[in-house]
Order: sequence, then structure tokens, then C-alpha cells
Amino acid sequence: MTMPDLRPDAIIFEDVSKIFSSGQGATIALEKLSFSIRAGEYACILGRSGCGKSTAANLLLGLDRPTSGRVRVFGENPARDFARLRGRLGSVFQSDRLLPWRTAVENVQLPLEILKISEYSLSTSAAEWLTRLGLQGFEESFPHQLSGGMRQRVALARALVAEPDIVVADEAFAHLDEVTGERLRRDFHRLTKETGKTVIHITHSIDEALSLGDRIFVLGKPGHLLAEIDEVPLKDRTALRSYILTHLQGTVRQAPKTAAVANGSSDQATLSQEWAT
Amino acid sequence: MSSARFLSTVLGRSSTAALSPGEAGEDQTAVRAWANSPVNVEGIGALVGLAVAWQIASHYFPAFLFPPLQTIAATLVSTVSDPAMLSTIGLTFLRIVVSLAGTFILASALGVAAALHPRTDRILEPLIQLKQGVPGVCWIIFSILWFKGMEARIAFIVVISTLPSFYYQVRDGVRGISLELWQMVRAWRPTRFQMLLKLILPALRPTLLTAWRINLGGGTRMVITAELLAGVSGIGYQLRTAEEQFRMDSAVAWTVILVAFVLACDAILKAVERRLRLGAPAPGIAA
Repeated sequence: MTMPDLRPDAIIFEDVSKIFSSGQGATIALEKLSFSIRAGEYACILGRSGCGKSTAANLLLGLDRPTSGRVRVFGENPARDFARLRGRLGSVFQSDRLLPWRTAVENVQLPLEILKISEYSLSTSAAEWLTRLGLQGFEESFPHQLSGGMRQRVALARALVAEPDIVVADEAFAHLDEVTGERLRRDFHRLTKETGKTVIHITHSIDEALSLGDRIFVLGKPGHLLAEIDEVPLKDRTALRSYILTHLQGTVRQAPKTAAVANGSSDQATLSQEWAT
Repeated sequence: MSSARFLSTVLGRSSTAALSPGEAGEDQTAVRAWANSPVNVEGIGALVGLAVAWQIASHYFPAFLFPPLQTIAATLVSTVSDPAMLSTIGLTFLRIVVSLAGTFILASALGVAAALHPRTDRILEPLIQLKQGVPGVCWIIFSILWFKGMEARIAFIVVISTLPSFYYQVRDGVRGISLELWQMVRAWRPTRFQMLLKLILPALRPTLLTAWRINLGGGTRMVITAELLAGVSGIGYQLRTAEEQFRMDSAVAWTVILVAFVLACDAILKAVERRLRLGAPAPGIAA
């Protein structure tokens, strides 16, 4: 018998809907999405492209407001109580989003400058973070002088330098080659676990979610919760994989026929190919 | 005309095909060296040609139309060595720089506000379009009628004439900052001032430098025109005096001083631009 997890909830999504209106009509990105993530947990949000994963990340970061429902981060509304969560949320995105006019170390220092944190008060300085992420000697390099993998490492250092409580990784390793992506995934997982961060890792890769997550939330389209899987490391990965695939394929069957079907490649086939590895 | 064609023309050869293979190779190497030279040989040739044409014209026309180059040079030297004239030069340059700096600050504030707040843009857009429709000379007349003091007239004319260009450059520059960078910086919850300091202004630096380079010439023209039509001091006033006294040598000497000022400012801005571009992505560098 396992002990119940008594850690407090760091993140709560409660019946959250987000509708984007434009001249061509409304697009539902999230539809009554509900989940909660406990402090110190490594949670993966898994879903196909366009299922509202990044919208959920933006709501969590306070960059956007939900159309309805409630988002809470440590009990605060991240959009309304914007300043109260200063320094508590770090983020790393699919593209590195480095400022091209700043060197690697200056990019890492950006959050410290915004939060007015002296490097002396931190256990690990900006330069030390770069070293921990294997970028020793590249501190003074500009982003255009670094490879894609190195730039993403700088972005990871930037996300972690201010010692935030929560780190949001939005498809952070998706565009890297397999070897680089795997190394970065491993480093990121190790560093966030070592420092006890709450991580919300958004991904479309089942394998990535299975290898990293303590908990997995499977999202359907438009963004709603299809399945929630607890204690992932303790469970059989093959069984989980097919369980997740079944859920995701279920959403495909509900989707209307698309042009891809007419072209001879159904969404179902594309899905299988995408996640065959 | 390309360098190679110019050289062929200068050498009196229509093409290298008529040369022996060895000769053709040497000739093409020479062409490449010439074309790649940091000195614009053709441009210098054109300027020398113009000077020669002027000097020839000075032999056939009276001095108030085409004074000899040595007379112009003597006037230029006496102008820049006369303390009173130096203060005239300084006054005009100060007017240009201060008026442009003031316009720049005002237009930057408006441009940033318009980029961030569509309502501000909707208010400003028709006003600026209306201004663009009014010829520059009308603003000079308005300034003479509205303002008594010379400095106020000049400042008004420069602001009116260069504000739209600065405004559009800044507004579109802010709009051009990628949403990804906005979101990344905003996710750290900066204050508005920090947003300006950490993202907007650094991202705008190349745009602002270009705006300065564009407006420097325009601002100089407007200051000189204002001094010429409504002034009692400055280079524009000196040009009007030269015109009244039929002193073409003096008019050319003042023009040379103005051109030197604009070129010097442009060179400084270029140097600053080169320095700031250190962080910009260089073409051809693999990711």
C-alpha cells in the first residue's frame, strides 16, 4: 500500500476554457481543462499538435487569461496577480528565445537583472550554470556563434538561474536532434530533480513523457483532459504507451475528416508514424 | 557601369577574349583587385572629373558663377579660421543636433506608445498623414508667423519635418519585435520600465540608428532652409548673405562645411552601428 502524497498543489487548472476569437470565427484551444500538480512534481502534459498545450503554458505563465475557469499558481492568479509570482516561475520554450544582442552569460543574467537579484546571493551564478550545462568557455559567445543545442542549453540555464519554484518547459527539446535532445532532457531532468523544482513539461512525445514524468496528463483536442497517469516510473512503460496511444487515437476518431484523408494519409496513419519511435 | 567594364573602357579593350590566355588571366586578376579595393576608385574619378569641369568652367564664366577652385579653397580656409564664423558653424550644428535629439525623444515616446496601444496609433495616424500632406515650406511660413524667436522657429520646423520618419521607424520597429521574445521577457514579470530597458530599446537600436542616419540629412536641410528664410544667424543666414553679395566662393565654402558635417555624423553613426551589430546574427553562420 502506497502512502498518499501530501505535498500541496503548486498548480491548479479548474474547468479552464480558452477561446480565441478572430474575424474568421472562434477557435477553442482549451475546453474545461482541469488538473493539479503537486509541489516538487515533474508533470508532463502530453498531446498532439494543436491540442492547446502551449495555450495552457501561457495561461500558467500569466501571459494570457482564460476565457472561463480558474488557474492558480501557489494560490495566486498568474495573470491578475502578475507581480506576486515574480521570480517563482521559470520557462524554457521550443525555440531558445535568446536575445541576439546579449552574450550567453548576459542572456542567463537577464532574469537576475529583472528580479534585481545579486549573483552573490545565489548558490549557483550565471556562469556556473553555463558550466553545469557544459558551456564552459562559451560565456562571451553571442547566440549566432552557438549551435542550436548550445543555445537551448543557454535557455535552460536562464530558466534555472533565478532558482524559480516552477519551471515550465514548452516542447523545449522538440526541435533538437535525437542525441542532443536526449542529453539535454537528461541534464534538465537531473538538475530540476536535484534542486527540487516543480516542472510542467509540455511535449508531444509519448516516450519523452514516459521517460521524464512522475505524472502524465494526456490532453485531447480541443484541450481537455483525456487521461491522468500517476506514479509513472513505477509502471510498465509498454503498457502505458499503448494505454496513452489508445486514448489519443480515440480523439482522432472523434475528429472530422480532414484533407489529409483525401490525400491518402489519414490522421491515424500520421499519428502512428509520428510516435512509432 | 561595373568595375570590369569601366577598366575595359579605360584600357580601350572591349573584352578579354582578344588577349592571350595568360594576358587575360592577369587582366582579370587586376580587374578583381580593383573591384575589391576598399577605395571607390570610380567615385573618386567622378569627383575629380567634376572638379576639373568646374575649373574649366571658371575660365569661361565670371567668378560669381564659377569661381576658381583655389578661390573657394582660400575662402574655406579663411571661414574655418575666423572665430566668428566658427561660432556660426557651431550654432547651426548645435541647432541641428539639439532639434533632432528633441524630435527623436518625442517621436520615440509616441512610436512606442502607438505600437503598444492601438488607440494611440489610431489617434496619431491621421494627424501625421495630415502633416505629411502639407509642403515643408508652408511649415516654415507658419513658424515665422507663430514664433518670434529664431530658435523656436527652427525647433518647430525640424520637429515637424522629421517627427513622422522617426515615429514610423520606432513604431514599426517595436511592432517588429518577435512575439516569442516579448513572451520570454514578460514571463519573468518585468516592470514596464524594465521591459523598455531590457527588450524594446536594445531591439530597436539598429532601427534607431537608421532613423538617425535618414533624418540627419533631412534635419540639416530644414535647419538651413529655416535659417535661410527666417534667420539672422547660422550657416543658412551666411548662405543668404553670400547670395545677396554674389559670393559663389563663399556659398560653395559653406556648402562644403555642411556636407563635411553630415558625412562626419554619418561616419560616426556607421561606426556605432558596426559596434552594436556585434551581437546581431551574421549571415552564413550555421546554427
